Order: sequence, then structure tokens, then C-alpha cells
Amino acid sequence: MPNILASRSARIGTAIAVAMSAVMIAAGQKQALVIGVITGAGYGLVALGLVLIYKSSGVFNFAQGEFGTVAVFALFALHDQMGVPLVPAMLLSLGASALMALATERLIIRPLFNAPRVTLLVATAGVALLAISLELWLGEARARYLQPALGRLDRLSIFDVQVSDQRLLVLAALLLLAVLLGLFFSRTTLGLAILGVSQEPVATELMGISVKRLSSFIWALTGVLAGIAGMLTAPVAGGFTPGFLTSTALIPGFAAAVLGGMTSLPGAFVGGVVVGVAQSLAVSAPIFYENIPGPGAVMVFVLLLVVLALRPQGLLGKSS
Amino acid sequence: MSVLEVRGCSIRFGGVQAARNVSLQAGEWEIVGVIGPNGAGKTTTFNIITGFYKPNEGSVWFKGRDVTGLGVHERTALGMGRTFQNVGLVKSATVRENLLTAQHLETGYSALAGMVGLPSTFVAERRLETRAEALAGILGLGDLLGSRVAGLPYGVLKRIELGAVLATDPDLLLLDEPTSGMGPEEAHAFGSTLLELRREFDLTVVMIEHHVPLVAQVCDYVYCLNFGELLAEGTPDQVRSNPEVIRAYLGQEAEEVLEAS
Amino acid sequence: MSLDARGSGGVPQVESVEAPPVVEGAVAEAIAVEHTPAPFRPSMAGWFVRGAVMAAIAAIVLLLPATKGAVDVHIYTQAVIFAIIGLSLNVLLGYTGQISLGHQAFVGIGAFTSAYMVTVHRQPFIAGVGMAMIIGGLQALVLGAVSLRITGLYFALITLAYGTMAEESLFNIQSLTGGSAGQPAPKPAGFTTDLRYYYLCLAFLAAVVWVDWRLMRTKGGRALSAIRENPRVAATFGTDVKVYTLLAFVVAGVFAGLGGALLAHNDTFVVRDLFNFQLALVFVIMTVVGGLRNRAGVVIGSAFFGLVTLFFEKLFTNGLDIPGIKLLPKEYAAIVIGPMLLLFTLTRHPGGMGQQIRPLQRWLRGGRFSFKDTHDDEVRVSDVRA
Repeated sequence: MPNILASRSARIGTAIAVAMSAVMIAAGQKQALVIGVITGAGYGLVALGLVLIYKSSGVFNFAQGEFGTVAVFALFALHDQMGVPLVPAMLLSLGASALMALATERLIIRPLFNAPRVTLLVATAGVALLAISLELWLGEARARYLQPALGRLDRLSIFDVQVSDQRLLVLAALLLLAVLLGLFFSRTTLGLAILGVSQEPVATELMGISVKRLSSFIWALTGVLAGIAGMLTAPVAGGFTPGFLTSTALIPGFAAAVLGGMTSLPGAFVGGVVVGVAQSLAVSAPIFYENIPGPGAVMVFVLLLVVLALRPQGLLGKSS
Repeated sequence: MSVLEVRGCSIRFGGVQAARNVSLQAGEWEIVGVIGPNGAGKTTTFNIITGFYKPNEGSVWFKGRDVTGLGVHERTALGMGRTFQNVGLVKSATVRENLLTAQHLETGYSALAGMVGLPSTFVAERRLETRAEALAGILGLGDLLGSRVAGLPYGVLKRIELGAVLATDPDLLLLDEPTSGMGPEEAHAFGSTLLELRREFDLTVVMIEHHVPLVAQVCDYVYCLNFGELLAEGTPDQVRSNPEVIRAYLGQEAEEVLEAS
Repeated sequence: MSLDARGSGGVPQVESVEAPPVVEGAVAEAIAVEHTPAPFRPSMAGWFVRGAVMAAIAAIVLLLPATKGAVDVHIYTQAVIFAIIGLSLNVLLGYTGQISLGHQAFVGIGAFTSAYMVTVHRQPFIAGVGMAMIIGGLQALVLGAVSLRITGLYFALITLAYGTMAEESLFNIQSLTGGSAGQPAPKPAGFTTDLRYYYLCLAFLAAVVWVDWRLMRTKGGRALSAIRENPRVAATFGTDVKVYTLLAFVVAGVFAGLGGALLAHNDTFVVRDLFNFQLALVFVIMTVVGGLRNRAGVVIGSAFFGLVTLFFEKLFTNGLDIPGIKLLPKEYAAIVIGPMLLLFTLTRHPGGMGQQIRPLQRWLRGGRFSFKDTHDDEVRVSDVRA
């Protein structure tokens, strides 16, 4: 996996993250900082999927959040309501989100493949809405709670901050995934093929690799990633409602992906942390939360605006 | 007084010098030709003249005024009209709508007045329609006014584009390969049409061309570009027999063949 | 010598240029493809039938609500307001090719502005509506300025983030919006009954349709269409692309602000929970399903979505009952049907409802009735610039 700190942009991104962290520690907001990093890790997971799909088919997938929410609903139904043991329930739930992703790819993306990208964006947004509406219908509008996978709280502390196991799990999972995906794309034939597809679909096809199968694989993988993000963050988010991953993590996820230039996987990771910490900063700083309601949303909007206006290729992306 | 003056314009894209110190002039009612092999920087020069590119160095003067800082639509307002290699029209609209859209600066009412629907705008619209019909008539497009542009034959599209450009009431016409896709007879016929239009509309013309006979037929002066630089200039005959020009187009061998013959 | 009229009757006396023979041949070929025989004219009976159909439509729109109860009329009014909102989104999405996934913010800002003016500042209804339109236009202008810098898919993201920010931040400012409790917005004096308010909104819709019609028939609308399809050509034709893009945003913002204000007073109360992601998508869906750039289609599509809860109620009292599965509450009808219609439209009939009613429109205008549709290239969310 390429050394993610090698490029200048990566150093800028990390520097910003470190600077923000220093500010927060100095302001005595260590708790908020740690939460920010971990929430950011969740955003990073979502962003990974977004970048994957953008790299391979050029689509902004607005249904990404719902792939995750569906997994959470499935897990709740299987484990909490029907009593299926945890691990099989999780696997089945991931299967559900993979299935939803595959269905989206087969029924929506393929027929519209030659349509302009914005049509596809609107179509995926439609898929998201459909999922939310079905969740509202078949589920309920109120919040439900998912049992955390690891019951024992406050086992470890970082910087004198009590961190629950669940949160550590999220962080560890993301790091592991990021490393695995990095290796996957740079070392394995399949990974390289996926990168090839995004740049030269015809050449890839000529080399005997089925572009269609690759595409399906990518979408299924993305569904799984979103499902993992949902299942990891729902228990610590304090409850899940229909469409929760879309309303809480989709836009920050996109912001993270944009920070990474929409094409860099490690960039999405760094971007996620940056967004999470920035949001945490906004939420915990009195200047913000006393004067502006919803400071988190404002921060993400401003961040997105500034990055796109100043450096459309993101912090880690290449200049086009 | 020259209508158009390009003074030492250069532009660089990334590492590529697309144009270097290009200078040319067009005097009133002249027809000036710009020739050169593909990639010589001819369209780039047009883009600089019309305002799509801002040159790194040099300036563009139009009717005695420095227009280098002006936007594309501002130059159109001053009287520059331009056609494109791949036909610049609103393809999803009808011929009539294109001719009306091109009269954007000639309407005499503001967009706001138009939206509200003041009675004067109805009158103005009728005037614009009449003008569009007249233009279409001149170019033999009268029966096509209601037809959607997309799907019409390429040659017809070129004529519609010419009509649209004329609708902007230009003093200077910048034509980018107006006869591409035409055979020698058509090109010759176009030449006659061009001379007529110049007379009818008091035009100065600068045109990028590949048809050598056409250039000889209508151009008063010719500039030859190669690799973004001015290679040669002069009357069509002078330029045509310039060995540098021949070499640029045909390569070393051809010149030797010519010398041998 | 220019093209403008000299000589008799306004017809320019320009020496005709002889079209060379080769060129004529190409023209003749083109004519053969497009030229139709003598234009069709309906008979007296034909006109009578057309008139009757139009009268029937007018009767339904104008007279039917008078026979219904207040609850139903309230929904009809909502349909009319949705039509205004659809037309506003169509200016951006359809005419100019700019994506707006945060349109619920435009509408919400209009709603809260009007409520604020009327409740907190004790201004009359007309001032509330006026202010809503002004503020709506201004905030749209800001977004428009952003669109000049950030385009395509990334701009779509910005609009989405903007909508979310409005939902979570702007609409939570206690002093302006009443926070979670919401803000009252009483109906205007003289129009306090649902029926009268319905006619008022219908009048506003008529005004919006008029402006939209005139816009597209004059230089402004033509400029927008050119910008949507080919900004370089638009500039070459003399259009200031930046100014007209901003104009499109302002017009859309003004109409949306109007819609929001009318919506607020229809419900007599504005709550921030209404203006969420789902609503933004419903707006996009109703415009796309209605048929982009097709005025009648957008009105019908939007009205449909405004009325859909009513339809649901009438069809299945209190919800759709599928044996074994939960009832579908009527509140969710729009967001269940909407995406399905959207995906169906995008993949199969990009022209939406507007394309389907085109034969009827042509017939009403005095043409022959035929199902042949010659404008299959008409509508695609495609032309949205990305």
C-alpha cells in the first residue's frame, strides 16, 4: 500500500487534523475530540464506499447511507426481535445490504449507464427515498436501540478519556478495512482490474475481464462496507431511525470523499477523520453552539463549500 | 484602420505552448485567411480573439479598442461573430428559435420586461421573428424554420449557424473551417456566397480554411500558422508558393519532389 | 447596410443570394424529410368538442372544490401550491439545467419568512408573501453565485448540504422560526375560508404560469435554454452566461418563496420538521415525473403529488392494507410511490407525464389527434450540466 503520508496533500490533511486536535485538547475538549475521531472513522467507512463507486462508474451514490440503514434494520429484526445469534445475524444483515446494492446496480445503474451522471445521481436519490419510505412503513418512525456488540463499557482510556469498546471497535475496523482495501487495490489482480475498469472499460473487457461482473462485485462490496458502518455506529449513536445513516453520515461521508478528491481511498479515510473532528469542534465550542443551532451541519456545509471552491480536486486528489 | 488586430498573443496550457507571439490584422472589408496544418493553433487563436481564452501575453484590439479583458458576450455586443468547427447551435431547439436566440442583443427590451409580459415585448418579438424569417430566406432555410436543428444534414447546419451569426449583427465574422465536409464545387459556391454576404452586410471576415482554391478565390491576405507560431503571411499566391508553408503541410519529401519537377 | 427593414412593409429589400445548385439539393432533401402536406384544420364540430373538453377541465378546477368540504379543499390548495413549487424547480432543473436537491430549503425559508412577518411583526399577508419572495430570491442568488464556481455533481452535493443545513440550523433559530414549536401563519383577511384561499392560490398559480410562459417566449428563456445546452454558444450569441444563470436562480427562488408562504398560510402553522430530505426529493421527483421543461406536465405532476394523500385516502380508507403486512399510512404514500414513479420515468419514459399528454395538448390546440410523438429527444435529466 502506498505510503499515505508521502504526498504533500496528505501531509496538509494530516496537519490540519493534528492542528484541530491540538486546539481541542488545549480547550479541554478531549472527550469531544475522541468522539470526533471515532465518528469521523464512521464517515470514513461511508466515504470509502462512495469513492469506490465513483472510481468505478463515475456515479455519486446517494443511496449509500440507506445500504447501511437497511443492514441495521435487518440486524435488529433478526437479532433483537427474532433472537438469531449475533454473528449469523450480522452476516445475514450484510448480505441484505449487499443484495440491496446489487439490486440497485442491476435495476437502476445498468439501464441508465449511458445517461448523464446527474440522472444517475437523482436515480440513486430515488432509491434512498424508497428505502426510507419502506423503513417508515414496515418499521416505525420512532427510534429503536441496537444492543452494542460488546457489553462492557469503559474498558480502555485514551488521553484520560473513557472510550467504550464499541467505539474502539469502529476505529479498529476502519483502520483494518482501509489497510485491506489499500492492499486489495494495489496488490491483487481483482483490485487492479477494478481500477482499470474505471479508466478503460473497453480495454479491460478485451483483456477477458467481465466488466459487468466486476461492477456487480464493486457494488456488493460497497453495500457491505455501508452495512458495517451502520452496524458499528448505530449502537453508539444512541438509537436508529428510518434513514438515520443517510441523515447523519451521507453528507459528511461525501464531504470526506471530496476532501480526498473523490478518487483517493486513503484520502477518504483522512477526510473522514477531518470532517469528524471539525464537526466535533463545532459542536463542542461554545462560540458555535451558543450562537448557531445545528453547528455540526453548518460546519460540514462550510467545509464542503471551502474545499470545493478552493481546491476542487480535494486535499489528496490529483490536479485534473 | 484595421478592424481586428492581434498583437503578439501567446498562451500556454500546462506545458504546451499553444500559441506564441501570434500577430495578425484584418482591415475593413478584407477577407483574411488563416491556414496551417492541424494543431497549428488556429482555433486557439480564434478562441483568444473571441475571448474564450485569455492570453498570457499580448493583446487583442477590435475597432481600435483593447478588448483583451472583455468577455465573450461583450465582444459579440461590440460586433464580433464567430462560428465553430463542430457547429455552434442550440441543437435541441428549432431553426427559428436559434435565430431568435442569436438576436439576444437586438431585442430592445430587458429580460425582466420580457418575463412580466409588457405589451412592448410582444411587438418586439414580432419584429425579431420577421428578422429571423428574412435571414432564413437569404440562406435558403425558409422551409426549415420550424424544424429541430438536431437531425438536419451537416451542410444545412453550417448554413443555419451562418444565419445565427449574422443575426447578431456583426461587423467582423470569424469563421472556423466553414467549408469542412464540402467538396470543391460546394466550397467554391460558398466562396461566392461569402463575397455576396460581405457586400450585403458590410463585413470583415477572418476565416480558418483548408481549401486552398477557396483561399485563393476570396482571400485578400493570408496568415499561415504552424506549431502555434506565425510561419508566413502575404497574398494567397505568395503564401502558397512559400517553401516553408509547403514543407509544413506536406513534409520534406514533397518539397524535394517539387524541386525536382 | 444591415438586415433591418428599409423599403416597404418591414420586409428587408435585400438582394437575394442565389443558392448554388449543390446546396439547393441538400436543402431539398431536408425539406422532403420535414415537409408535411397542407396543415390540418379542425371542423366546426372538431372545435366544439375541443371547447367542451377545455370547459370540462376548467369546471373541474374551478367549480369542483366548491362542492367539497374544507378538508378536501385544503388538499386541493396544497396541490396548487405544489404546482407553483414544481414550476420553480423546473426553472432551475428543466430550463437552466442546474440541479437543486435542497429546494425544500427555498420553500421553507419562504414559509418561515411569511409566518415571521405576519406573526412577529404583525404585517399583513401581502407583506408576508412579498418578503418571502424577496428573501427566497436573495438566498437563491447566493446559491447561484456558488453555482458559478462549483458545477455539476459537486454543486448537487452543495445543494444537498445546504438543504440539510437549513433543516438543522436555520430552521432551528428560535427567534425566527419558533424552534421546535413552530410558528403560526394565519390565513389572510378576506380569504379566511379554505375555499376562498384555494381561489387565491389558484390566482397566484395563474400569475406564475403567465410569467413562466412569457419567460420562455422571450430572450430570457431562450438564453437559459442555450446556457443549459451549450454555454459557449450562448455566449457567442451575446448572452451573459453568469447574469442569466443568476437570473434563473432568482426566479426559481422567488417562485419557491411564494410557494412556501402560501403553504405556510394553508396549514396556518409552519413546523420545521416538514422541510427535510424527503421533501426535497419529492419536489425533484414531481418535477421530473411531470416532465422537465413541460409546463403542463410539471403542473400536473406536482398537483398529483400534492393530491396523492387524498387519493390514497379515498381509495383505501386509512391506508393500504396488504394482508399479512402492515398498513401503509397515507402520509407515506408520496414517498413510496414517488421513487417508484421516478425510477420508472427515468428508465422508461424520460419525458414523464408531460410527454404522455402531449398528444392531447396538440389536439386541443387544433391539431390532429395522434399518438405519434416526434419529440423523443425533448426531455432528459440528461441536459443538466455535469
